[in-house]
Amino acid sequence: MARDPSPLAPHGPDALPWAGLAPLLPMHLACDDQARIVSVGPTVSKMLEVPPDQLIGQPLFDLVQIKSPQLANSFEDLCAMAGQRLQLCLCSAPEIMLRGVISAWGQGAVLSLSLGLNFTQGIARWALHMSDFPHTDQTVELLYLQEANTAVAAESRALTERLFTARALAEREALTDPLTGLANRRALERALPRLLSRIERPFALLHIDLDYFKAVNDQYGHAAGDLVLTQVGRILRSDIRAGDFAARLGGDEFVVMIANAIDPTILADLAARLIAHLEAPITVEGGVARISASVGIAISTDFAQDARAMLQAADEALYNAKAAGRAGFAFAAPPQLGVASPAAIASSG
Amino acid sequence: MQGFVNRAFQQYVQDMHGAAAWEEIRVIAGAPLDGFEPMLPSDAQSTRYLLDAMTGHLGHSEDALWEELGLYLVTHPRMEGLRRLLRFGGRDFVEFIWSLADLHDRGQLALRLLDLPKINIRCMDGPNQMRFDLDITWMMEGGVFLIYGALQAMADDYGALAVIRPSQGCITIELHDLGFGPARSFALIGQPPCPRRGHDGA
Repeated sequence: MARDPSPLAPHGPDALPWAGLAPLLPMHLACDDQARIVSVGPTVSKMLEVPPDQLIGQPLFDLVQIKSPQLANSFEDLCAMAGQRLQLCLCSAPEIMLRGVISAWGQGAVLSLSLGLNFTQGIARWALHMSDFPHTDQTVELLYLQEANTAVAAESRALTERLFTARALAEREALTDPLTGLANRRALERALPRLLSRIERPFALLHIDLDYFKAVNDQYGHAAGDLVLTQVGRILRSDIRAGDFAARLGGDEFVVMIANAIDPTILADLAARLIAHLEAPITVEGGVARISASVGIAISTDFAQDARAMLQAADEALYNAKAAGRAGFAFAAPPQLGVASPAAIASSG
Repeated sequence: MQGFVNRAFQQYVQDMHGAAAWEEIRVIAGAPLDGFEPMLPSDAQSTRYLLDAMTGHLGHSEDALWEELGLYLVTHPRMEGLRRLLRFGGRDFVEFIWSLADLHDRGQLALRLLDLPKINIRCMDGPNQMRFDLDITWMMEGGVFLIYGALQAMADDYGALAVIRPSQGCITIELHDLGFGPARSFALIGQPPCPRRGHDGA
């Protein structure tokens, strides 16, 4: 380090107008060529928690620690850093990093400080007020912006939450049959391709059509019909396991998706049990309604990934069950080779 | 911007006149069921309907409504955040008045969508008092009375004694005493918002 402080270009032997510095730089420390304090700004005195007059004459390096661009321990070290951006801290608050710049001043030097990016910490630690910052310092504006941003972000988040809730509600309504609370046709059509794409998790579709439902409507009226449909919804829901899925397609048509079940014996048992449960008498206003159901069963492994074909096959099986006398079930035939797709025929021929 | 104005009036009615009054006004004004969304665009007509509904239901003139809104925005505990943002404008009421020249730009700094009134300030020093003339330019006619209401509240907030008068497009402030009463507290780092114990204005 240069011993000669001449690069500091002194303003003259008595040119030390310290008094004028305070309003200009309330966050300054000035030292003589022995690095002893000769002037201190009111804000720095507040930060050091020592009155200004008690700071005069103290060694600068007892009060501040310069960390970069390099450690400084002498007046000469300081001179070498003139004009550079300094990182430093007060010895009394080493956890709060400050910014600084140093410049030659008379025979000594002036160090001007400002709070770094962790300014909120500094303001809280030293209980700084607006008047502690010079008018040219933007720290207060940064605080303003920080608070304004927080408020705006909170408002944005609230709006997003309201919209999200509204959308979730609308979506649920769009996918729910209002009478039974089961999924509706749209929900089934949306779920089916996804279920079919998970080849490792085969499932069965039971397409259910109520028998004698029209008679209930005719005899007891639509309110009774609605009551029966609601009860059917309850039965279907209670007969399936978690992971299964029941939907009302409309009218007296329902579909039940049974996960991880492709064994015809098990499915036949299940269909018979469902039909039996649906045949239980239902008390309605004016009497007792008795219905039954026909069921068409399709198994996902027979239908590659074609949701439409699977639904259609279940529907055809249902038709067969009805044709064979009501209150029964029938299995869908796997799509026949040659009928499936002309391309398949072309390639095999 | 209309969304912010509508929402501000909504909160004013809800907080100062109650949920029933808001429901009445909301229906007459044809406002959305869930109230106004400040961050989404609304049209000027919706504010028109809202003002008509409020003047009819609350029995206030339109000027009085804007003034009350200004007062509410600065003094209501729910609006503490806004009061704090305004207090960043200056250490005392004079500095605050001068900071109003930046009000529009400060608003935009916080949120591009905000289009706060533009305020032009002229200062005339009298023998015993300072006098400021504020020219207000805004998209809505209520700007003068909105600022008038807010200024009265901010003078209280700073503990200043001032005579404030609205006129056509302009507000006159005669400042008599900067330290007339106790100022409400303001620290740069705010406390988390909590309901105030009571109104401590002068």
